[in-house]
Order: sequence, then C-alpha cells, then structure tokens
Amino acid sequence: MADIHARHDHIGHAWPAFEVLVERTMALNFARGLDETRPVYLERDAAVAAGFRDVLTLPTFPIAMSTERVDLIFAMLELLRLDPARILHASQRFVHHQPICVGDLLTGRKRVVSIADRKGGALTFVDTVIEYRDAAGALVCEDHCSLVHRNP
Amino acid sequence: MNPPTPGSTLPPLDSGIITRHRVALYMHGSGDTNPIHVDSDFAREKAGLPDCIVHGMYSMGMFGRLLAAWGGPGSVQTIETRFAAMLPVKERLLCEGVVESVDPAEGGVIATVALKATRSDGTLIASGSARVHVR
Repeated sequence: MADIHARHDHIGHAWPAFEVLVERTMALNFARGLDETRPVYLERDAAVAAGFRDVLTLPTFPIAMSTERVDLIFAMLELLRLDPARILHASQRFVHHQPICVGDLLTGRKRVVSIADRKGGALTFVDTVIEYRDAAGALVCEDHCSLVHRNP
Repeated sequence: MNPPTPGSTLPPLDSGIITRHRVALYMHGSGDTNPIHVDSDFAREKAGLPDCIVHGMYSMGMFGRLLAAWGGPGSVQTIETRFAAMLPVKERLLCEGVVESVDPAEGGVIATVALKATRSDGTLIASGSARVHVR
C-alpha cells in the first residue's frame, strides 16, 4: 500500500511542453479509417470554402496528437509505478475551444489531474489532461484521459 | 434541421462492416499501432482473443462523426466516452444519440446529447455524452 500512497504525491505533476504538427496524411487516414466521406474532412478546397484554414479534423482527432507522444504515457506509468498490463482506458473526453485543421502547429502540455483509489484500493483511477494551445497561447483543445489500474 | 428539443433523437449512424482495412487506416491516422488491432496471429497467440479487436477510440470516433454530421463542422464542443466492451473486427456499430437538454447560446443553442454504441447482437460497446453548439 506504500506505493499507492506515494502515487498521490504526483498529483499535479507536469511534463515539459511539446510541439505537435497536424499532418495531412494522419488527418486523412483518420477520417478515411472512420469511413468519413464529407469533403470538409478530406479536401482542402472544400474546407477552405467552408471557412476553415485547411482540412478540418474530426472531433476525436486530438487522440492522434497525444499518441504521437506515447513516451509520455510510459513516463507516467513509470512515475506512478503502474503496470502497463494492468491498465485499461476507462474513459476519454475532449473539450474543443477552436477548430483543429491540417497544418496547425500546437503546443501540448500534459499533467496529472487526479489519482483516486476505489473499491478498497483494488483499483486506482489516474486522470490526466493535455492542454493544446496555439502560437498566441490561446487554448485550442483539452484531452482528458482516465485510466484504471487493477492493483496487484 | 429543426431546433433540438429534449428527447429528440439524432439520425443514427450505422458504421457498416468495420473491415481490417478500415482498422489499418485508423491505426495510421491515430498513431495507435498496438498489434492487437491489426495482427490476428498476435491477437490469438498473445492476447488469447479469437481475432483482432477494433480500437476503443474508433467507437468514440464514430460518436464524433454522428455528432458532427448532425451539428455541422466544428459544432462539437465536448465529447466524452466510457468504454464498455471490446469490438471484434468485421463487426458493425450502431451509434445513437438522444438530446437530454438544451441551453441558449450565442447564435443558437447548446444541446447536451447522450450517446450509445452497440454491436449487432445488442451488446453495449461504448456510451457517452457531448455538448454540441447547434446554430
């Protein structure tokens, strides 16, 4: 149980900021994989005609931006002493403040929001957020991830 | 579209058969390269599953499509999903949304929508909620 209590000391821990470029190939594969057919998500001209800078990404695309930094997931598991084989993705939430388009260069910053033990310590829920901001520092999107760890 | 009212339903989205090709495209688009999604040998021998499973985030992606098709491009303000069960490849998802409440907002309304995704046998795969700015 000592490990579990030590985990709570890391609430609020933040990792260094990182840059992420919204690449065309990724955005198009993401949309095609989901069988999206509306041109605003696939063709630059259609997106521009609809008032966007370039191809618009779908509402859950930020997961691709976060997955580019899978090293941060492993860093978190190590910091909190969580076993990857005992982790499940419990829930996911995105909060959008501005549209995300192909070619956008954003800055992400990840931190631990909460760590909570449930079911008498059998489970630990770890909530993290990655905030994405534009060059002016304005908030673009929040990626809230909740993982559950089955404690040994 | 008529202004949304509590209890009204969104046009449902049937994913169609989620082929291995679609899962492979999604893998490249999402960056989630876990072999359990694309390598059936791995799924059987290492994970003890009958076949590959679709990314959990794929179901959430379908919710995103459902909502954006309804509210329009850029209308989804928040989208949240809880993952309930694994979905094997070559299955289909039925995604449904129901308006729970409507609040005034600039140039339109914010609709709070409850979401659920079920496979063809009725098993719940994912549920969730969203806030959509309908203009």
